Amino acid sequence: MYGIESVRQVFETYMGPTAYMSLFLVCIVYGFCHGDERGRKRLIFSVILSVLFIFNELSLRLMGKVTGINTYYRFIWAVPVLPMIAWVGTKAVMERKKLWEKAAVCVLLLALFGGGTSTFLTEGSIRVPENIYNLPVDVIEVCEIIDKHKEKEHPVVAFESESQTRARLYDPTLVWAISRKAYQRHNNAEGYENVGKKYRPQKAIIRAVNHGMKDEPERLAKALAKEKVDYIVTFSSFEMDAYLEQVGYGLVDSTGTRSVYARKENDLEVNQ
Amino acid sequence: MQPAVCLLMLLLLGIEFIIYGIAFMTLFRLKFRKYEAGLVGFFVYFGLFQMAALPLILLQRPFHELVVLWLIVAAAVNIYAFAAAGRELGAWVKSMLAGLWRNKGILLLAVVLLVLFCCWFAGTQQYVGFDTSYYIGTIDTTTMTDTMYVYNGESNVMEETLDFRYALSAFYMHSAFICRLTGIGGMIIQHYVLGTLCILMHAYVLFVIGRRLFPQEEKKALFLTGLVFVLHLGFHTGYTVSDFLLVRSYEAKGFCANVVIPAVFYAILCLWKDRNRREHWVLAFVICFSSIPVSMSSLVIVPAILVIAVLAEWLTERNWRILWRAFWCVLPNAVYVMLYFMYTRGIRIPIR
Repeated sequence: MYGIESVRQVFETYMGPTAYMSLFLVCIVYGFCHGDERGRKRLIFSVILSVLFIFNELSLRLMGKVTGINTYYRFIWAVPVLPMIAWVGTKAVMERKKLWEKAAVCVLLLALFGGGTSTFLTEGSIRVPENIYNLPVDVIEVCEIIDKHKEKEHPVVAFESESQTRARLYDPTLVWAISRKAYQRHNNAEGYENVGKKYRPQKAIIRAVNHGMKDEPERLAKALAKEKVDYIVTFSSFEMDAYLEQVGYGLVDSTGTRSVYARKENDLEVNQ
Repeated sequence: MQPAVCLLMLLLLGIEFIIYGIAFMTLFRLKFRKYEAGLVGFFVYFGLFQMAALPLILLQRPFHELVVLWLIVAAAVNIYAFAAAGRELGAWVKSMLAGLWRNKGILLLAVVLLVLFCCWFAGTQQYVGFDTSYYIGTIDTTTMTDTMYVYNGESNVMEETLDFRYALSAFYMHSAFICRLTGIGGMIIQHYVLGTLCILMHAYVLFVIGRRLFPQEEKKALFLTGLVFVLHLGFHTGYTVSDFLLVRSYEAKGFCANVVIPAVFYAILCLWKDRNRREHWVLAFVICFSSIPVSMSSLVIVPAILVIAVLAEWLTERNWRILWRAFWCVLPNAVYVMLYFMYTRGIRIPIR
């Protein structure tokens, strides 16, 4: 969860447009009203201690320093929202005596919980994978092209961002030329004003392979040499053949949407 | 062939959890309820795996040594379980079959179908992020290079130091162990075997919680399990426990959110019910001890939940002994927190 500034914001982002938080609070009140004295005390103390130790601004900052503020949302996992609602829901349904009463409460619960704007069951989510790897066929084809062409066991590959995260799931012998941090921090076609020295070569590669920029061949050639890139995978729609030829990389093959380029020395060595 | 092997591995893991649970109960003369055996076994299994794996990871030994060591440990546990607790194993199977027969009907069928639908749904999701790339990359890199955490899991570039953010938990090394055993790649094993395992274990923990909340009323426990799964289907915001169940169940975080934390809830319910019962404290300790082996995300969350619950109990009952016992439960996590803190302060183990 990125861009967090307050605990309230974390809860709002976490709960989204669902009514689960309100329902959870209703269930807490129900638990309080129907519990014995010891149970009530435990409930109150648990809520107070949770706010005192975890769900306050100071803890947000402190835990942010230890484990990273972006992972603070995981503390909400420690709030038993769904089990609590289900406990009250089960009592509401299963403790009705007549069947029609059970059915009516059941329908009400399903209407409350089952759907709405935050459901997983959307048109696109019900799908059958194209292959057992559950990866796009195009990415698998890219890996196959590199595998057939490569002469090193672990070639270094500069991927466009979509293939970057998927390719090694199919072929773990490949090595990333662009790091995760470089992609997360500098994935845009802008200039180098806010880019540290360490990431400048990778930024130059990102501009070319992920944004199709063709305005700095010399910088790109240097960056590719520095990162020891053996292959480049980019979108065919960028039409990079001539530009990458200029920086020393020739087209090996293309899939439906992606093109694979290899360092030319590579080809020469193969031919020799 | 690969789906059949995945199914077999899933079945074998389930059987192993029962065997480990019953062996543990027999060894320490603990009287857990029959339906708790799998829960105890799951945590004992991963706790033991961590004990075998962590020293080898820290010493940067080859991965195949862990494979051999774990096969020996597993063989020893299985032999012990059959020799010392053969009868208990038989009684457990009988009890489970009797339980299924007792609860036969539409409710059981509906809940089973709902859980299986969720397994299928999670298996078909195509979410791939940098985290996915790292975790599955770690598994494949481990089997490919015969090293553990020496190479960066996502980029395949050699690390300069052991990354304690990941290397302190052997969860993905266990997946690599299964990959080595079956010869199947990390993507398939993690996505289908571990992903499905997470959902099934979640359903199981919920049922166990239901049994505790509604003693002697199995149907209510079943209904509670089904209801939570219905709730999951409507709780999609990107960070919820449901997201880590239905989209990213194969990640250790998915296990943390949906198995470890609900198991801690269960342990707390047990402690609140009877704080003097030895078994309840053993269960809390085993869950805490194995929370890091299952997921590094448990590092602070699990002890925080337990401390709050125990303090709430202490404020209610003013019993000092429970604080002392709780101290022992959170001690393993405290050690990991210290190690991780030292790592963040620059005290690191360089790669040889």
